[in-house]
Amino acid sequence: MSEEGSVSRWLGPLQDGNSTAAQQLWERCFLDLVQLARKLMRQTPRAAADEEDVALSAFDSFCRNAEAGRFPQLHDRDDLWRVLAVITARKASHLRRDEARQKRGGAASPVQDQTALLEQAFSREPSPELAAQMTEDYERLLTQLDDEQLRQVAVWRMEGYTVDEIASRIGCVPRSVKRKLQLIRSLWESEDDS
Amino acid sequence: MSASDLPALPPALARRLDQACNDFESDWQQGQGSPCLHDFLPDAADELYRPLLHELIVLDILYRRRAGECPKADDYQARFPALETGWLAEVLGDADLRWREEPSTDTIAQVATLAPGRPSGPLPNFGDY
Repeated sequence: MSEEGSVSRWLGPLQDGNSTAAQQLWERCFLDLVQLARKLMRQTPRAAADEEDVALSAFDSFCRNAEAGRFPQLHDRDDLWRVLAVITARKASHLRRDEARQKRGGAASPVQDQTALLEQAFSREPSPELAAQMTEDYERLLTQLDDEQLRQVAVWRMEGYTVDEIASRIGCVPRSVKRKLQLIRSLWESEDDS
Repeated sequence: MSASDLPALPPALARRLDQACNDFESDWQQGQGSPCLHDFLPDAADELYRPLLHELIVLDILYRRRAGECPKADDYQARFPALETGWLAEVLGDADLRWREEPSTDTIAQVATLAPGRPSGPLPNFGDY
């Protein structure tokens, strides 16, 4: 079974509270979530455990809200990743904020209310600190692309254009846009590994 | 992975594949019919040969369908006898490889695009919170 198929297969049972489904999805997402958490927290030196904690916390929130039926349009790997990425970004942002508070002598942040978290996570406007982080990542990632068309595709994608819309803009089939996005990811990953 | 999934390649190979596909697609768009796939392929011993052959066939199917043709397995099997029959059948039957003109209407969560390694893109409305 393809990865896409296997992910889609477990999404339904997950929303029915199936713990095996949660385990299967966790195993497929763990490394990507940790990688994302690492990117979002790269400005501050920290233990690897922090990144894993953020990933685990995000996945836990996701599972509980999925069980509660809050993701009615969760159908495939893409849907799953979008939700997990947003929740992880929020978790990373909260961790950085809480650490900053503690350094200033304040009390630790209370446990986040999950509903409130999701309300924030799915708001259209990112928080100032997340926006700053996103801007920094955005610029850094674009400089890694040495091809103007690849940069343009990346920019349009990050600006919210769909694959189909980008395909129309550059005059190709959507498949070719997906191929370019995969090349972009490959280039970014290689930079991360170097 | 399914037959029509894009191959995960190291950057150098992914670049070569993308360039060859760009050239192939450009030739298709000249409006002179299906380009010869052999013209875009490296030697069979090249590690790019198989993934590029697969991707060129996928593109060829898409463009031929766009042109109103109905590509068959024999069209490719005859030219590339070593081509995996099962792979070809799966690709030809893949509904995702139908030509689509209509744009999607979804929107995006930008943060989701910042994570290499996963498809990035639109964030639909996932419900009320």
